[in-house]
Amino acid sequence: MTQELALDRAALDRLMPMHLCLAQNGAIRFCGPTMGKLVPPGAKLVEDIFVEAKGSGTGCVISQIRAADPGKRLALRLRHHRQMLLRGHVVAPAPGGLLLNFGFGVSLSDAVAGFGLTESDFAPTELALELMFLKEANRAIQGELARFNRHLMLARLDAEREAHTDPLTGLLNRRGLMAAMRNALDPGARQAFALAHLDLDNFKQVNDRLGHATGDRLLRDVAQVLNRVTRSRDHVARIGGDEFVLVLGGSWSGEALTGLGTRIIRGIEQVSPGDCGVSASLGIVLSTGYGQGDIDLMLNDADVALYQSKRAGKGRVSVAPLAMDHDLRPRPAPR
Amino acid sequence: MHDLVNRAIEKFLHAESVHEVEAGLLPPGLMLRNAAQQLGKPVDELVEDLGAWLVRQDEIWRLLRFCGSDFLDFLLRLDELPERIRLITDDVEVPEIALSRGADGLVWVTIAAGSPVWTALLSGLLRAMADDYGTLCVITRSKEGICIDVSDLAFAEARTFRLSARAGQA
Repeated sequence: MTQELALDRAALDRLMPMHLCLAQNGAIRFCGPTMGKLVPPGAKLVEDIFVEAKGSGTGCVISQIRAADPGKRLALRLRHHRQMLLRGHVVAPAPGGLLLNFGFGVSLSDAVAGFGLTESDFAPTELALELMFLKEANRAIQGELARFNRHLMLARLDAEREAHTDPLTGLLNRRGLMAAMRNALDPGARQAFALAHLDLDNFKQVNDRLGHATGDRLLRDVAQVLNRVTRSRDHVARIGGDEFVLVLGGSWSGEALTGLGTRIIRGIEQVSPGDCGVSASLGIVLSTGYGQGDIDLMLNDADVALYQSKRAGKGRVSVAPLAMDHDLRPRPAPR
Repeated sequence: MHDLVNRAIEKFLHAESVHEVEAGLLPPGLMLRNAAQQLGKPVDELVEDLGAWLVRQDEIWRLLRFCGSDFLDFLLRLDELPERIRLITDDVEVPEIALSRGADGLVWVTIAAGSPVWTALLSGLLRAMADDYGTLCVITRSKEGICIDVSDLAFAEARTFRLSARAGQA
């Protein structure tokens, strides 16, 4: 049995559609049908097809090919599609000639898209189609998973918002207020703010005389008043039946706070149903002097200031003297 | 992957205008049985419709067209399908598919353990793929398996399929 095998070009084309046969000087002799799709029209030399893969090369492709170790991978870029890196190897089957065979490696998808390759451009042994199949399957699955994740994230955000919202008024609930105050008192986001505790006056009468539906409507109206007079970065919460708390960002003067409180009271008096004479009492403290763990203390101080307003005849605003002045604190609000 | 299977069935049932089924809460089999009851059609018919519906989903259609250059090629390589699915994921159990070709030219597809659900699903899928490739054939489903009689491979124009999903140039 002879150890030699002669292949005609038709057989070569079928076995290795990406082959390229060169003369020693780099002149193109012939190539396989798929390689033919990559060769620019009028190409005479291997340099017309390829450039060296690494920019620092000598610029002489043929000398790189001639010097290539037959056992090693040869990497070359297409001259007119530099992003495409072909890999292959070279043998010198006969004196005066070089036979190279190439594959697309990781540039496969680009090549298939760029040259419009089809199944018949690949030898049956190649895994090109399987690779394309896997890539598309992966992308489809990833797309679906990303959709799932988005869905879960939105559901979580919804749940979180719900957990922090008072369903009747759409304001924050007590839990939402705690979160807002934690943020406001966080030493990282240290911006001054004022905390206002508001309690409706004569609210019980509305419920007793006009019924709970009217009471609920009034609470929603009050929420609207509070939303109207505050800015979007302020926080408004309903923490009990007719008790509201406002977190008002910024450095406030006592006059400005009294002015704001008075506007709130007038607004609420305007939405009072019938002749119930609903109004509001406010107690306000400034954040100066309070630290990270002082949420309860601050709420308590605002409550004490609110009690002052109630005791002084309702429908009014008390701004606690500077928070450092603690003469109010020891007295618990008798409510 | 089970989520994806559930989602596919959910989408399919929506397309079939079944909205009452609590998708995602029921295992796929039960979901389909409930839906079949509502639609008043046998479960295997609904599953066959699901097989055809899968082919109409663009991403799945592309993956299927990678599996054969024409319908006969696709059909005769159908036994690769479980292995292909295992390439993508390990957690869907696909029974082995066996092929045989009689002297009369009929192709028989049989599914391991004779799973009626997979038989129905595959026959729906084959019907839709034959259509897609423009092939005229008769597909009959029985307890023994699926029998395909291909009468004209190129009866109509096949839907154009390009290896690259991108239309652009490199």
